[in-house]
Amino acid sequence: MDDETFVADFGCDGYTLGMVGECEQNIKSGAGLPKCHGIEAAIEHGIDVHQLAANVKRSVSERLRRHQIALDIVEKLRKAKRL
Amino acid sequence: MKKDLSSLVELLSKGAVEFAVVGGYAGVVHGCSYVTADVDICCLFSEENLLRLQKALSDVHPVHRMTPGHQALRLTEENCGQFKNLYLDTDIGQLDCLSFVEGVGSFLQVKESSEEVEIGGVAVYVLGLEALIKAKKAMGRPNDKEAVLQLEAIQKLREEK
Repeated sequence: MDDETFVADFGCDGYTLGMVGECEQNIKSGAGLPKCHGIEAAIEHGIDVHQLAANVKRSVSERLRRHQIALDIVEKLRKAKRL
Repeated sequence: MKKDLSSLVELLSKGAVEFAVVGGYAGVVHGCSYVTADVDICCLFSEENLLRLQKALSDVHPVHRMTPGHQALRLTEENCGQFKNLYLDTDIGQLDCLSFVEGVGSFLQVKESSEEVEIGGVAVYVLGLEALIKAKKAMGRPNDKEAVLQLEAIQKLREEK
């Protein structure tokens, strides 16, 4: 998977360079999410709850596949001494 | 070899090791968005189970991560009883094996609080969301506080589904 596809697919996860503006809007507004303490607390902390909502809809296999992709990128960045 | 955490879990399951996935990787299974570089498991620290664990990991060359020189894992019937935890590095990722999880209890209590999930085609016990939140709260480290926020949000999102 090339970087552009990864960024579009993953959205903002702290390790990619794109979609920061849209991600920040989603994080601050909490648009489309249930209003309750657990979710609002996460939003206030800067957690992208839209990404969590998307993950909840995914299968375990898909969550782990995406996690492995992110881990591979982190390892590459670490080896390149970017982290 | 590159890190491959789900393969690490599969090896343990195929090796008939009695364990449950806990910690950060359990959070990922439940839908957390952070990246974790290791797998934490709670397992039965009986002689039989530890020797099964050693055999299951033999192809990925486990070493004691915290010892000088990273000594190879060499469990025997005689020395198994001295371990309460094992902090290992393998060719495909780090594996922390715990006999007890703060906030939940020993392996039997962890297993009772776990759910069966399919990882890589094998059924694996993973600590349930509520128990994982308790465990993370019991640890109280900054990373754990963030994980708790994610897990509690996931709990609410699941209720709304």
